Amino acid sequence: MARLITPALLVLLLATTLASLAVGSTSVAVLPGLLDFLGGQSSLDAIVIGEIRLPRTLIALAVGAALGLSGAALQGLLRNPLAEPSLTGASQGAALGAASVFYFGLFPSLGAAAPGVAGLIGAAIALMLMLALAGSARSHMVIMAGLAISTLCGAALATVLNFAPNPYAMQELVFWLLGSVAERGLEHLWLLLPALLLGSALILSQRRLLSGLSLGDQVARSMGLNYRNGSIMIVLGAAILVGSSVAVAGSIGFVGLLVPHLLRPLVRHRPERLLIPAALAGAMLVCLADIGVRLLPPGRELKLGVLTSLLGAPLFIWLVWKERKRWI
Amino acid sequence: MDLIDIHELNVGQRLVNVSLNLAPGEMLGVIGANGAGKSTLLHCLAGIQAYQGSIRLAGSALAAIPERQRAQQLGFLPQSSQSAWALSVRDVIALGRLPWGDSDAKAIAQAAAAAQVEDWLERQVDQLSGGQQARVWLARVLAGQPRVLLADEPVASLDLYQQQNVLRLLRRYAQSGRGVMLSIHDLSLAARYCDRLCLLHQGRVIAVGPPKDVLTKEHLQEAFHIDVHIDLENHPPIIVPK
Repeated sequence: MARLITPALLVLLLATTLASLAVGSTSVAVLPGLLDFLGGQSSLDAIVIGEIRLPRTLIALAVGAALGLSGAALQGLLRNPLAEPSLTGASQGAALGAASVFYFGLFPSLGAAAPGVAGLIGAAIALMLMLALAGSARSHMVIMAGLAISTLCGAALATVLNFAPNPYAMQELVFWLLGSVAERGLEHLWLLLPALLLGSALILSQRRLLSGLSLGDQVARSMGLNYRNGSIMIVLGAAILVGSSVAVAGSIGFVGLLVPHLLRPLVRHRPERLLIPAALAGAMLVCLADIGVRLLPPGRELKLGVLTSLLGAPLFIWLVWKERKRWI
Repeated sequence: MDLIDIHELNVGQRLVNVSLNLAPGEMLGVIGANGAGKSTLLHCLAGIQAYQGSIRLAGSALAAIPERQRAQQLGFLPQSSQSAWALSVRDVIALGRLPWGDSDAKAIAQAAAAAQVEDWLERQVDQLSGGQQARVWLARVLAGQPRVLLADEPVASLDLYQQQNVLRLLRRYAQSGRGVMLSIHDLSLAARYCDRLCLLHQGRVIAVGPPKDVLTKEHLQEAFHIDVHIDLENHPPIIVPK
């Protein structure tokens, strides 16, 4: 079972991807359109698939993978099933960075990619502040410092909202914060992909540490694992993943918390085996949620982040209920 | 050559000028009151506590040995263990192979057999009783087949039967040509199962040697501030406060 989970998720992910390319307001032939686009032809199908649905699908997949992977890594590092990616402060930092673009009109030359770039910078600054404040990578210090920096960024974000230059800027900002992968182009993907690769590489390089940490940091260190450097790598990797995904798609809640939680029994609770499945399932979940958003009746669009929270919160309540029954 | 040779070990005020050795085949008990430095001493050897002074592992300086090789030679069983996740017993024992980077099925099976946990390999470790869990944590260390096994109060939370079981197991492990260093509070058990004892008091070594030399009224008065009744001729040995 534990061995089959990754291939099974890959198959499901492929099916989800094809479904995502097929769903939309106009009906197009997916495979011919994709082949035309890749072959450089400009048929109507090629334009719809290549310019609109492919970037949207790939961004949804990348954002979901980043959130799922960083959630699994942080839960493993902090040995806490309730840890979630925004704990590092990176997601609030990214939100603040992107919000500053709407407020101050930073980086006008970057066009639509400006919030993304500013978000990445915001995430990086928040992360450096958090690591400097935490001093070490001890899990309770990371949680406290992350919370402090998150609160600081949240306060600054509220200030930006408070003094929004006009109602439209405020509306744009709030909608952006709700999280969405609509109207994103390939330039956003180029921002997201390197971060996804770098963050994943940092986290995956620490699989042995995550494995050893199951029995606590003393045992991990006594087994020759470098806890200090390794945990900094994991926090860094998670922050890069979360920061970039928030920078491109706004905040999409509950994916990083729930996906590792749901998959854990399927990998025999092994934290290092959870990483790849969590990335795949996170990608699938965000992509499915985005398909859901597109299938809703036309009119005012339900934002992706709102949908994942609406679906995730009841699931979370159910998990808490199940856990409670174990102890009563 | 000694497996472990400690010379003038210092850790702030917690350990002061501790010198000690561990020979192959030997089981050495570290005894002393709470806060005497027993755990700190084991932590220095396990590589999780910075220290001043010299520790040599089979002749080479411990500080110069790469961490992973050190972990292959020295297995550490902490005072209290807990798994953050509901791992199966088999997966917990397999963690003992991490320093080697393999999942040697034979070593894992041997460790499970030695600690008598083979019947629950597929059960989740958090569903076992405290005594059963203690044997699983020990099996994890055994799976790494370290030359020196360091155990911090391995029998502290066990019932009488399990205490005997674990100490016999450690003794057998030492007699196979390896070494065991453990901290222990029960002086009668220490006298019965250890080849030599090291009595610590406020970070300093008061006495090292065979139980009969270390467990004297004067030493125990100094270390524990109590008057004790000692009968080492009895089988099993008796050491109780008066």
